[in-house]
Amino acid sequence: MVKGQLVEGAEVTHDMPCPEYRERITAWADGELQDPREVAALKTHMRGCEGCRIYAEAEAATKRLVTAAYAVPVQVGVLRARIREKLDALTVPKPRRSPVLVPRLAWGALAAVLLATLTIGYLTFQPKATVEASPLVRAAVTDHVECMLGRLPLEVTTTDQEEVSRWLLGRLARPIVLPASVPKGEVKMSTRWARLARAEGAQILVDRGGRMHSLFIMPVREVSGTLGRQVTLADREFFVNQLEGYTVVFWRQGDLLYCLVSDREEQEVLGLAAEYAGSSAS
Amino acid sequence: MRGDNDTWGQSSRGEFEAVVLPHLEAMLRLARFLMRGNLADAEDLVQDTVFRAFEAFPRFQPGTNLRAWLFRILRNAYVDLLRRRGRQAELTESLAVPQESNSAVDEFRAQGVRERTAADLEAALAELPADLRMALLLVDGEEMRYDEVAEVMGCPVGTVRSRLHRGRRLLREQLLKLWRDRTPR
Repeated sequence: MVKGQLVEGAEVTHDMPCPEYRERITAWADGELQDPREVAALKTHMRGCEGCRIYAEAEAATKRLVTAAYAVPVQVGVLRARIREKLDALTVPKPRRSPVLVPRLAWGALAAVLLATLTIGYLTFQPKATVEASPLVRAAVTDHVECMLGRLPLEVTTTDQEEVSRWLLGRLARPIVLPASVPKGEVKMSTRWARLARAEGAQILVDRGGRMHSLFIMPVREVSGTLGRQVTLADREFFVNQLEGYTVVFWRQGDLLYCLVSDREEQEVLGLAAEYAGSSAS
Repeated sequence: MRGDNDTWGQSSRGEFEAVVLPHLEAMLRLARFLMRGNLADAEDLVQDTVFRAFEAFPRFQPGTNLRAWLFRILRNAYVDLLRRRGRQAELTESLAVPQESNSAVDEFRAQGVRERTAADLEAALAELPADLRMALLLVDGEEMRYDEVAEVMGCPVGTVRSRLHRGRRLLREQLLKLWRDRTPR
């Protein structure tokens, strides 16, 4: 590489640098003109062209100004401490979710509802097989909690589903439209790129009236192993898991796998999943 | 995975800090120019970049260009920030680059010797479209090669060359404008 250096002895003058040499002069000033023949041709040309020679000087002078301005030192001590503190929060074992506090007067009502639910459940449904939570389920719950606590950086925060769909564009194997589960503007959504177990995908943290749930969307081919207990709802298959007070529901749609995480009751989460699945299919 | 102590726990975090944090100063310096001198915004941008890098670190290939990888994440974070603020137009090169006569170049050279202040440079750089500004800062400030800058900006090497050429011309024009405005008439 040859660094830019001015050539003495002007013979021909031009008022402007020659268009065909301008970018080559820039590259020469940066030591990026690598072909020796090209360098020789440029030098020969500049010997006879005052316009290009002056231009080369200006390029070098501009470069020196930027270099000098950029060299002003910056202090990173406080920033480094802040980053380390947040990394501490990310790498320590995750606290388990605190139990929900129920007002004393509600205990009676809760017990009655529980008893009724258990009775109906016993009479109506087959006993459910216990499914061990897969790493994917644990990772989804962890990322959902971390996002709610503000410990994971979010990219786009918006009330506009279309904006989220635009953010998703090009990130997954095929363009997808975000399921519009509620009327436009009634939710606040924040996005991030997530890595759950070995699967990569988008996470959309949805704040609907102060209650949050996360919707993960990832290519189905990246997921293996059990997805949970199978439930059929509105002719669609869902896979349900419970972990640390959260319900995690999966469903497939084409080559994408959707995963919904929420602390609502299972039936409510299933209803929400069906709502999402229905609107994204339409 | 981050959060899974078997694969991404304290030891990985230590490795991350050891290789990434030494680049903090370079990232903050670049971010300060991208955020037009606003240090608080620049620190937020770098913090966002570090956490994105932390998440993506298990996928980083050891032996590849870490500095280019980090600056690429920083650029993506910056682009997302502009988009969130509805200022994505600042990224594009829509600002016309003026024809530059030799007399203007001469004037620049004469003025440049007398008045090369960092504040002028910052003000002039702030007027440049973000991608031109970034190409200039990476090459002249970080002394990166064109191919490294191409990796950071996700564009061909020829585009880097063109952006530098256009960026420097525009920067001279902006500096001259500043200096002419200040000259007593």
